[in-house]
Amino acid sequence: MYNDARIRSAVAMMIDGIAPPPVPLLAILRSAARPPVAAEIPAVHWLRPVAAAAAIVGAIAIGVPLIAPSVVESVEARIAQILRWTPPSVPPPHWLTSQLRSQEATLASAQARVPFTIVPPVGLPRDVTVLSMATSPSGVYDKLTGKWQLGTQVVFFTYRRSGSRSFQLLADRFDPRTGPPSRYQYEDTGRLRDGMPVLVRHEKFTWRNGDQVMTAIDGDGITADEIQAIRNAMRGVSVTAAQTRSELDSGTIDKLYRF
Amino acid sequence: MRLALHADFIKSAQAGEDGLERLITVVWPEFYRIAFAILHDAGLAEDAAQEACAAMARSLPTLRNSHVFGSWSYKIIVNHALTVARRRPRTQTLDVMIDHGIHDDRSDALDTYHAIAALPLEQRAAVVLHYYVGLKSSEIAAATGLPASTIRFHLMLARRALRKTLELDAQPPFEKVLSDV
Repeated sequence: MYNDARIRSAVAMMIDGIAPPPVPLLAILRSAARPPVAAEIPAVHWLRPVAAAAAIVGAIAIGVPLIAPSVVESVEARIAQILRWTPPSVPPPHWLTSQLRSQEATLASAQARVPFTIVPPVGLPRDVTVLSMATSPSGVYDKLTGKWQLGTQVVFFTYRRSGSRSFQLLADRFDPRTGPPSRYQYEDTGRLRDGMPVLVRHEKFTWRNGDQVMTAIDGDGITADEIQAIRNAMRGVSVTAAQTRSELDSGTIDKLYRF
Repeated sequence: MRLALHADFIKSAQAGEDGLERLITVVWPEFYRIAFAILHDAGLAEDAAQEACAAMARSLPTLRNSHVFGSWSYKIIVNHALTVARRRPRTQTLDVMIDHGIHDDRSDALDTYHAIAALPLEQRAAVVLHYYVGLKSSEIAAATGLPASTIRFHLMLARRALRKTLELDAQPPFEKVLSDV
């Protein structure tokens, strides 16, 4: 017979067995320094350009470690510490970012521009109403030479759905030089007085279909479950995210996308 | 009360940055576990726990009686978990839960997880606060802003559902089959 004492014991045993992740101390302190905001998640602009190189060029993190601020000298270094990610030592040059312009496309015209076989998304949420496609060149940072160059074209699928929501899927050619993808994508939503960015974390999903690699992140426009439904409907093969910083840094190039 | 911290510890957190960091480090696992027990989603639990820790840090200077820190902080985490749940309802499969949530190979813990997961949100929160944290219905009412009579009703329904599920799971397989006939 399950009396109160047994229920109490079972509930305590279950909850005590939950393993918490590392405490994101800096993120909490930054958030505490801001005035409270309405309980909503900001819209996802994860492909918003370059101002936040940290948010775009990989924008990578496994978690938020504890660090001693005294050992970190600059804001940039602190960001890198928080993201557990080494940003490119050279910022993307203006000549490059000015060329990262998107161009509307149809499936046929997009296929003619990109160097991989496009596998269009299927299994979309039922309330999707409008699809628009665009292609854009990517930026490539070579970690070995420390130089930026223009990369091949990628495809952005932009979907509108009910409730004024929208989401994007990004298709690119699979390139093993990038190394394993990150588990999270960080959106840079502004700066605090001390220059520290206010970052919002999104879960990132990456899967392959042939030589195409598709990326999506969850947010107000699409949930993680809906992304996984798309991946399953496409019969995509999940690309395992990096589990350690060394895995994250194992790639020899970083890519920059701009929509 | 699990978060019954020493008054000096709370005062130290109210006074200085180091103390606040120590306090956040101490409450984080508890906040996360409670959020996960209510939300059943690792990502949402992390969001709720993080927002609750930030809210706690912001409001800490206004806490005059450090002896009520426990019930005060539980109120914060439960309200944030409920807010997150209403904002972005999601469900998770057992596989995901095993991968990211409960690192416990005792099958009882998984049975309990399933039983709690099957409860409506408000009942889940009431169960966590009553059976895990140890709050009375009047204290849960104060924490959630619901009438105490509603909390007692939630607890009664939850208790009934948990007993039914857990007792069924505890039966040997052949007995389960017989009872289904």
